[in-house]
Amino acid sequence: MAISPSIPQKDTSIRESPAKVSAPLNSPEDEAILSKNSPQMNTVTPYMSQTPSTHEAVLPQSKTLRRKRNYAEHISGASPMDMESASLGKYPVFGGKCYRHTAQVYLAECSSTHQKLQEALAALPQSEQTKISGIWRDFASETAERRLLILQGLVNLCCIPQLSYLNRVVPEQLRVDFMAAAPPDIALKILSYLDAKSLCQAAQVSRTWAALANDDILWHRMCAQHIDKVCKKCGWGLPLLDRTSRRVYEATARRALKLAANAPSAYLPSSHGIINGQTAAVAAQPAYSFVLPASNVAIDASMPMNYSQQAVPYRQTIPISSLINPTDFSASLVSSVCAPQDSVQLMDEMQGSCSNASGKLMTPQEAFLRVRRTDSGDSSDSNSVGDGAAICANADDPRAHKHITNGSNGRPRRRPWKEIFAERQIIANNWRKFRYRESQFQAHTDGILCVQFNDSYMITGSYDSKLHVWDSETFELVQELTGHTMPVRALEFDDCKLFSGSLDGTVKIWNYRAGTCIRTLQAFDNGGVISLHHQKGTLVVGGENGAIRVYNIAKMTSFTLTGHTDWVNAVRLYGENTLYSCSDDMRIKRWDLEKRQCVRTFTGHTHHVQSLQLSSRGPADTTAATGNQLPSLRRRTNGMNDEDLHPYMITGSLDSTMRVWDIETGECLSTIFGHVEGIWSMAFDALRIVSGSNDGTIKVWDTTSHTCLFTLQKDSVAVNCVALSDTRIVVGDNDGNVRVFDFRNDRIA
Amino acid sequence: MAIILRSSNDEDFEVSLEVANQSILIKNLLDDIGTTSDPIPLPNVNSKVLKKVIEYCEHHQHDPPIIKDEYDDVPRRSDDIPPWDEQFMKVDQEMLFEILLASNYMDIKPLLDLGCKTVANMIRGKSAEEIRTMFNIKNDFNEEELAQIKRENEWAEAH
Repeated sequence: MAISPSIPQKDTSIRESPAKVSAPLNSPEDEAILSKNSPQMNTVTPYMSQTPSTHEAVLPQSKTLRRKRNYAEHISGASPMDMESASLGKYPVFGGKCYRHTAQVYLAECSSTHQKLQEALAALPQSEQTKISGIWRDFASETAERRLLILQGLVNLCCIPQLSYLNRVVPEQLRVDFMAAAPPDIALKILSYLDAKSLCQAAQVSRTWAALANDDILWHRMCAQHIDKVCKKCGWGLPLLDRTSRRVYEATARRALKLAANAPSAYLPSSHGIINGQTAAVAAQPAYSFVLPASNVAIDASMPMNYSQQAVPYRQTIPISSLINPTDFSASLVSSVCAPQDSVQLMDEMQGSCSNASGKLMTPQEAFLRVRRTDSGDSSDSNSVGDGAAICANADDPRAHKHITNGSNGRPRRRPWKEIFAERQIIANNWRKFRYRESQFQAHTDGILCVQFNDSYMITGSYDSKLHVWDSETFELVQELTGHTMPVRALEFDDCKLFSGSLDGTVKIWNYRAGTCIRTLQAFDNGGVISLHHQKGTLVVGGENGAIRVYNIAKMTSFTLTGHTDWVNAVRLYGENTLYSCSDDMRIKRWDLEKRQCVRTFTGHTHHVQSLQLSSRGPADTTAATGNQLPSLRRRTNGMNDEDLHPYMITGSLDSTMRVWDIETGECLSTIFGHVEGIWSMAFDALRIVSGSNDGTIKVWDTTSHTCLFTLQKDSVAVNCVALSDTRIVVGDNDGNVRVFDFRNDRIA
Repeated sequence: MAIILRSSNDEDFEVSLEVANQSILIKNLLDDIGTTSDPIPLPNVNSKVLKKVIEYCEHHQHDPPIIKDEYDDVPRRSDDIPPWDEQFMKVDQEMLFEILLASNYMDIKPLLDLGCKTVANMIRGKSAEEIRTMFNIKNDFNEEELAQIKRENEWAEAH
């Protein structure tokens, strides 16, 4: 054998070129010594194509061993990479594997040290080179136990400077890159204990760390813990931000309609199939429909597609009826219930099936967020009913869950959960640091009495008897709705329709995009409409006379509840058969809609109770939806959401306080003090409460702790109404101004 | 009834059935083949680590079984390590790593959890550079990647 001074160091070149096996240290003799001396590795020979697991050989009958992804697999070399590691068998190992000589990162380091040593060696006389490399080689070929013995001898021989050298060098080498060295499942388990900030630092450590710390499973968990709820560990909550932007869906709608116009017939079979599929789901729901009696069929035809009327100038020529047949009861039911997002999906689906590429319509994230939105219940409902109602209809629909389960063959354009988390974290930071951009504009010439907004529209109702529909981003006036003869005191809209209630005693139902009144209900003959709420086909109207009228919209039947003795300022449906109302008579009442009577009265406020909101949409949602949900979602809706377990109600009163009530027991859980004058309006979600007072202050409170986070005041004009979303607060004042506080990052800069 | 566990370097350890049963690997094995007085080989665990693992199992042999599942939206905590466990985990990184692998292999969930929490606590609150130093990790990003990854993660820093 040629004498070639070489260090018995692991040479990375082995990886690249097995031909180098013939290098001195990997000579057959060495291999022979190795297999003799290393009993624990004797089943692992380099370059062996199949390496039986030592463990399985010993205990073949154990199911566990096959069932478990076990340690033996990691060391015995099932993967090509491990096969290469096995070639390092000459290195004695602890527990079966030498981490230092298998991890990629360290191989490189060892290799560079190896280079340096070679150079130092080359400077020595030939005989010295041979001698030293011989010592190294001998050491390398020994077993763990014997290496230890040799080292003990060497350490014993060392003088202080050499020991000092060891002391300096060894601790560093002893550190373990856990992410690179541990099996990925353990690495991910470690990371699962970390917070977002630490994960982001971990992602900047190295490529290996980045790959693990950006893992979608970890961030899905982070999202599940934080979005639209307060994390029990860190006390943070993040907004949902689940809405499809109008631009996106209108563009989609336009595309779909264009396609439909070109080849309408092509869609019919598939579209009907889908519609009927949906219908089954929707029909199973309690009559949540907007189908009016036959004389009003026109609504059915116009409602489903009306959102596209503005966006699509050539709508007259489009055979909408070919898309959704208005005479088909089921189809109209679905389409009128479905919000534009759903309709777009419908169209998407049609497009999809047309091109034979129909996959899932919603990304799993969308589905997840939608489901969460339903959980959050009433908080979404009061302020952005557009989304609340749309998603209610949607999330109850098994379709949403079907999409989750179909996730594997879905579209590729799914956003990483980390990005979703980050987007929300930025907004949460703005809320926390109270960074916002304020906009103000004159919306009416007289005081504003009610306001609601979603991502696309903002609608205001005023003393001037008008309703104004605004673009909620640009604040341009989209429509002016006239028809009421007295101040508009209540409104509620979703993506299809708007309900407005006026002191003239009527409720009007509008196609607000087109600016047309679809129907007028004379709710009361002796006094105005003060409040209204719509949920799943039931419309409740509270009156100036203290009466509450409950409509079944599908059947167009109604009945009246009496009990309050003064204005009914807010009405709120809870589940199928329960209604809450609050009144100027200082009382809050719970009604059983089946028995048509008041079942509980909540007392405590000492002045008019102006606003009322519930933490949950009702118990029915959570139980009804569970059957179709993925286990993780089912758990969430079943037990993990405190608001579902303990639904509560918050009321705001002119006595300057807000009260938190247990809706089941009627107990007042907490009284929130802070305002110095009466509270005209209040809104809350899972994270914060916003209240507007007669003295012009707006306060933002923490929903969990009820502490005041910040106070906004510009002038002393009374704040009549407030609305809240994940990113914005909108208030309407008594002078006709709308003020918007926007916490989105791009608006602040 | 004593069970004999044999380490990779052929050292035998005698433990009680209760202690042995904390390893689901061994428990399933004993369930399958019945209790045996033959040594049970653990070819992936050396005696140094096995000794440590047994120490843990002996200390925790009377612990009530854990029944709670890990839900996705229940945060995993790592600030709840009992003092004995914390002391037990004061070992060098090599041993910590070996304990992780051994508990994973032997399927001793509480010990695996403990090991993971310990490592997580080492990482938490540290900057990337501090993490590199702590675990002797080489920064293998090029400058371009570094800039990009910094941009991608800076949202977590901003408050």
